[in-house]
Amino acid sequence: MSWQQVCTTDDVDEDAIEEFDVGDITLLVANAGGEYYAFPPNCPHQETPLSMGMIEGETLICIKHLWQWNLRTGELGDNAESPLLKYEVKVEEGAVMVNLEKELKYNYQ
Amino acid sequence: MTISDDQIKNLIYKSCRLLDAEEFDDYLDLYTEDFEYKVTNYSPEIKSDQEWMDANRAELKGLLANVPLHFRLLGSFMRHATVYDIERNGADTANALTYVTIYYTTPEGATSVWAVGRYHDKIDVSGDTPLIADRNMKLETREVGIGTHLPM
Amino acid sequence: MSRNAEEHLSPPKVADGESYIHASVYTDPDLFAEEEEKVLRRTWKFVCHISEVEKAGDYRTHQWTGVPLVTIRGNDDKVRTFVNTCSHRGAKIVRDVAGNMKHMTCFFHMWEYDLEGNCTYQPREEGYEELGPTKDDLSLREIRTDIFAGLIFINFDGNAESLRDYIGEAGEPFEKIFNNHELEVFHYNQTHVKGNWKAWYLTNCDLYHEWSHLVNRTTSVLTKGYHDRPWRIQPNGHGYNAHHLDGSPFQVNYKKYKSWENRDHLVFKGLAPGEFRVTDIFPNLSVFFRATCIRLNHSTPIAPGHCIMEERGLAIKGESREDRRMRTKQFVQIWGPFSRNASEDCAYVEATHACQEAGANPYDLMSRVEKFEDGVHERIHSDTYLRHFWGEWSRLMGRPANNPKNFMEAAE
Repeated sequence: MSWQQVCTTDDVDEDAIEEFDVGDITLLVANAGGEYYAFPPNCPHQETPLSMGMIEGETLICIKHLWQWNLRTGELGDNAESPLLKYEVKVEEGAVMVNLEKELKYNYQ
Repeated sequence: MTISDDQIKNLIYKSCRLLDAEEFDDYLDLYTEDFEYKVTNYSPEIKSDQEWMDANRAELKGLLANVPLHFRLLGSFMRHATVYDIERNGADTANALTYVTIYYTTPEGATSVWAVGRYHDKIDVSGDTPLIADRNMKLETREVGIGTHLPM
Repeated sequence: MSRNAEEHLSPPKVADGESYIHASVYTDPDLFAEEEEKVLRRTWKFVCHISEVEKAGDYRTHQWTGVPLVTIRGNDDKVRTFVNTCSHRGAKIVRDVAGNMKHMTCFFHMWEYDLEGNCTYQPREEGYEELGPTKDDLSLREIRTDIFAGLIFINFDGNAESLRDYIGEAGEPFEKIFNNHELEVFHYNQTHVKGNWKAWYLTNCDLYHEWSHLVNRTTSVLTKGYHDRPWRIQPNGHGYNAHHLDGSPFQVNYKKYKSWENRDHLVFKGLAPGEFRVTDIFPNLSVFFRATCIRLNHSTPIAPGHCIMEERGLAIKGESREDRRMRTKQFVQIWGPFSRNASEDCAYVEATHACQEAGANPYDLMSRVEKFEDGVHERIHSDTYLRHFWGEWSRLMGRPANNPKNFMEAAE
């Protein structure tokens, strides 16, 4: 699989995070101020579902230990100790397209 | 079509079953859009009625969506209800009085009575199916252990 | 690497021996009995709010260290507390939890006392003429009672310093605000907690545990400036956490919790919108502000593993029904038996007590130090107040909290 339509822009409200399955891959799509981002479903820290997380501006926040990342730049914010893996995303005529060539996974201990 | 007393009773019993099962979306579907939900009691300590929960649809929906994220009492509740009285208020609403006993079962399986009280419901009977327009759970019990995030 | 039994039972490896306690301070019956004498009967204990005994004859019954008490407003407007037991056979005189009366009548032989504690009537009084005593010898025992910012306190110790001196500067975060309004109690609940009274109180004082509450994580810990608040340690075991180091208020962002609104209406005069403050008065009263809500929280010790937690909400007397409803709604979102936070706190205390009682966890750590750049003040998640509390407890008890019964000496 390479570029796949995961959802439409209407499927994810502003400042919301939604979960989608494409084939065997589960991923989250976040709408941060009209920009769409896609990433694996769980926090790199303790596998907490990031679908329960919060979006503040460009920042994604995990609800458990408040690890934070800038979704646009990938920069680590407060509390975060390791990076967030992100899929490439593009929006074409209302379709949220994600490059799913390879499933992104964390090496959980 | 007139809503029967049995339909009203079934609505109230269903509200107990869905809350027991923590099927919150379906539970909220039993209410009108602009319902008000309260848990109240009388406190002899301050010689006054008081409200221990007061939520509209948006507030209850927000609470129930967050429940899985909260640290909370483990175990389960079982509500045992009997509708004692239904009174019609014209064609569109009815008042229902229901006696409720709530049992609590610990994760280890021990059961005790957690609380007793009465649902004072206003039921909207203007549509095809009855809906709860307002619920006031008047608790007789005032000591509820560590408490809970859930409506009763 | 996990620890073996010997390692687990050894004192924690911390640089300062006063930064941990031995769990027996929560579980030992002898320490509990000693604590009643040395701590609980020698310090000022919160009873209730003056609005609960507003008019002459209004009373509130309660107990402290097992002694039944009644606090009552006299015809002279003075609030007094008496041991609630008849001088005759020791029956409990006032049996209801609250109410109003013109005089106190013992149900057993119908003796009567006035609101000032004088024995005023005995049926067939002449029966005592030959042997005595006279009624004057049979008045009720009065317990020192005083009021600070509308809060009624008692002290069994007749020689203790005045209540105002006892509270001192610790009244700073709440005294003015309490005096800005005529307040009344609109919310009350109590619950029997299977835990030690100190563990309940110290859960209120341990702000590091805000990590556990979903509400606090999202509405507070995430808020800018959250960590920039110092603990203000006060004499007599008190302390408070109110302002940022620069004196500005800490404003909680309530909107961050799904379906909640910010608290910028109905804010008590003297507070900023959303402002949070907590004041901890030794031995066990916590006064909380959450902008539109005031909570008084304390507990009554019953046994090492049992206390009765009491929670009161204060509102402005005479406010409109709409305002009261909104204030109530916001109060019970956070506190009360159906709230997000109070029920979680109860669970924490019971869970830790179960482990301590079983001896599963011999020590309680309080070695967190997060200092400001000035090297003096400690931040909100420092355990500085916990260490301060145990310092005061140790002083009154004459025992170190980290080794209250000389466990190590006994082992040697």
